[in-house]
Amino acid sequence: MTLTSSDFSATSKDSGKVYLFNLLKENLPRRTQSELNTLTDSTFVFTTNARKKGKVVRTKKQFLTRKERKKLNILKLPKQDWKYDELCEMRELWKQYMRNNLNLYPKIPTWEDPNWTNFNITLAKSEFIGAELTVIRSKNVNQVGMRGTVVLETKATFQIVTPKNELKILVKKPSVFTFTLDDMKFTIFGKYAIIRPSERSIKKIKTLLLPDL
Amino acid sequence: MNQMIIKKCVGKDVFERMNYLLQLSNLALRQPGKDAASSLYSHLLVNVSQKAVQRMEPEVKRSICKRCHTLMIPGINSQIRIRKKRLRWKCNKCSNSKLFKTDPSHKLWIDNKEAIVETLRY
Repeated sequence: MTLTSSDFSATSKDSGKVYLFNLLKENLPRRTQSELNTLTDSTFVFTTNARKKGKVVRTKKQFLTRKERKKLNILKLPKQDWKYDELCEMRELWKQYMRNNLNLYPKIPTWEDPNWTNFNITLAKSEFIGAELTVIRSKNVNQVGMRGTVVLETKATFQIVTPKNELKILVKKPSVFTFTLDDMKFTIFGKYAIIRPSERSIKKIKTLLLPDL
Repeated sequence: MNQMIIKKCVGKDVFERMNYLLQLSNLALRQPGKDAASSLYSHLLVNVSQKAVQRMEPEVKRSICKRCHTLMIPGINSQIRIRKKRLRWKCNKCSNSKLFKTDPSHKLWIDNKEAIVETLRY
């Protein structure tokens, strides 16, 4: 039912209804004539009263969704074609970065230092890609003793490349890791490292946590 | 060393991390078959800088694709052309392009002399 306002503007509301009924009687097919009586109470909405559809302006989106990332092959790492020897440059870079970041030289901090907690916090906020990790303890028995350089870190996993040129995915939650820097040895309790790597640099870190023995 | 009290640098560890990630991304791109790893690292770089609200230098920011966050290096990974008097960077991964001005009088704020107030060394 569409009526323009020009047909209807001069007449009042009731006469408008009468006009409309007459128009319907003329134009509708006969079998629907009986249904016309049921329409008496209803109100009519004309197209002029109805809201005009505004033009939807689409801005060009700049980010990629997860699906599109998968299509371009930049969401996950490939499983094959990894070489442990090629990653040696990365390991050297990581050592340089950690020495710089932790301010190790000229003085290596001990637990008696006043800024010992600060040291721990900067350690927890640093990057682990490029580190040489070994698994000491794990609920998954096959993974105990596994060693390799970290290639990617996600919220729940470390992905490492072993000296046998394989990509292994280690779950953080049930295992404990170690890494060495020069002559210092650090342990990571995977249970407390379950944060997205991008959010780690701003998260407040508790200084005292109970290790899971 | 002088016995001056050294001011603590705000967000030094974040800058250190971002710098390291940029180096990693650059390194992985030069090695064959690691473009996925490279783009994952640069994606992490962008995310870290957004979360910690520590900004990148304009030249670094411009070399990262706005759409898929891969590091663009001309000749390897991207294309630079001058079209219609404007500089166009095209990413080969997602084929998104950026346009820049070629007007020689146009200057970034960071290139001005007034922009640098003080330099600190840590």
